[in-house]
Amino acid sequence: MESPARYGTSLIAAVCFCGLLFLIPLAITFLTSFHNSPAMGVVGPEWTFANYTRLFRDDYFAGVLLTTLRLGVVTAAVATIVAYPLAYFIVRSSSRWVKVILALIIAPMFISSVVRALGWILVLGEFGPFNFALTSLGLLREPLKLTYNFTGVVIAVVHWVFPFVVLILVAAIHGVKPVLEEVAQDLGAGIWQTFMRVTLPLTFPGIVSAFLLALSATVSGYTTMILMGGGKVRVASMVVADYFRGVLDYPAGAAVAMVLLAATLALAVLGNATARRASLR
Amino acid sequence: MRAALHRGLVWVLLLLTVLFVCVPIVFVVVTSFNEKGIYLIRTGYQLSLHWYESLPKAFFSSFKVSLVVATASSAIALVPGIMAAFVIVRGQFPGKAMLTNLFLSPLILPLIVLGVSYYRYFLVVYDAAGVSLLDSYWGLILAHAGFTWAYVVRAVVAGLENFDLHLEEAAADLGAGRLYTTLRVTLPSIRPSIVAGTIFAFMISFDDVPVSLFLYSTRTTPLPIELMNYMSDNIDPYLTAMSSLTVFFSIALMVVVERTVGLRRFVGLREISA
Repeated sequence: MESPARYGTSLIAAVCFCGLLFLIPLAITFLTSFHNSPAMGVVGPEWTFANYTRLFRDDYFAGVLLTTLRLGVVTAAVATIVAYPLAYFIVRSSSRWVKVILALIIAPMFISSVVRALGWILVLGEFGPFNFALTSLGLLREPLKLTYNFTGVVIAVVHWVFPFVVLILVAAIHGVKPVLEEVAQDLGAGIWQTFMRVTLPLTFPGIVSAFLLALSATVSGYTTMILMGGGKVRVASMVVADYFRGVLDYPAGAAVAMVLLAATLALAVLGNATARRASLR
Repeated sequence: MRAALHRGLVWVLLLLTVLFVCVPIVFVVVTSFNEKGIYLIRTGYQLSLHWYESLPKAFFSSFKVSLVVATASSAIALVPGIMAAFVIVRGQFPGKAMLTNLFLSPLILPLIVLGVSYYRYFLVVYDAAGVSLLDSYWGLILAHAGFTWAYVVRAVVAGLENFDLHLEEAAADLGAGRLYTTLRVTLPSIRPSIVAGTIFAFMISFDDVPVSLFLYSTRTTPLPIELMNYMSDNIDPYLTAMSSLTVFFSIALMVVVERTVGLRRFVGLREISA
């Protein structure tokens, strides 16, 4: 049989590549977070926990973390709820439009997130088509403020994570055999009851996966948030960038980076656990 | 009657969702062809190529930077990525699960954390060896290769898991050596996965902001950063025109993907016949 060393060369090459261009850079940031910062742009020689203790006593940072979490939860919830009916349609419908719709949903994955944010700024702006449509329909008396605030960020970030959420839900719903729903209806369950008692429970692990993916992506994201927030909505990734590009306090920035890293890893572990539980059933 | 109402409601909901997905992108493109500027609802619409004819030169040089960085980094990530995938699918050694998680972790980590890490790393390399990676293409290229390779790994792992091992056994029975079998039998039959992974890596690099943000210089500004910096000063029709050009580029890439590997396989929905 195959000897264990069969892919030895590949193993060494892959580990070297990953070590040199991924692990060592991360390790340097990890170590930096435990150093002092004697001057701007200088990492001191002393070892300290001060960067972390200072962070957790900082009200500004607590506020930023709260905004980050709130944005993540709202975005993930909205994206999952909006995507579910669409994913259901994509799996169950026999319409010839399904292919086109799926392609349109996937297309934004290919398009730059900067361009997509620009699009939302134009669409949601005071003189944009969204406010124009709602005011001319008489639904609004004056334009809504939707750019450079929390609502605008939510809309653009939902748009950003949407294709990924749809794809996870499509896979989950695809796993539910249509015959189960038919049997429920034959036994007298209505459409709503069938959904609540059969489809929803069976796709619940998929819903959790989709939610966690959207949450994790939002918590760790940067580009869409900074463009849509215009500096008024502050999330954790922006604090990291500020420390490294503005204040030049590398150890403090590294500590924030490590907190952010720990949060996304925790979400990933949680996601893996739900995926594993789902496959055991 | 109720069924018809039900179906109507489904289609309205569907239309609204598709509208939500397409509107921001379509609006950028539509705006860019308006001679009267970006506030087309107030000013009216007049179709023209005016803004395209006098695009700022900086946009084009940034486009070239992004093209060079994305091509070079995905090329560098390709071979180690394939090797890592072989190790993950076929290797047998203690700690493999952990190594797999490590190899794939760039897919989930905050890119901003990687950005600052590469920045500090290259500063340390400069202090130790006197090699400046921050002022050249190489910093961007190596950093992008270091995290986009995970997309190659993921795609090739999926390809190898579906590969029929009998093909390799047949080649061996016919007297082919191991290297020959890998190069002439295994790799060609998982080519769609390799192509998909490379295109994914290219796309992620081409679109990247949070890593490039700490590594670019005035001579090597990738396009997304250039557009972002431009946007923070003013939003004007030149911006929408250049953005539209990248949209056309993305659509071309999408067509290439559909022709070579198929969109559904590309996004991991191969088994679903929607």
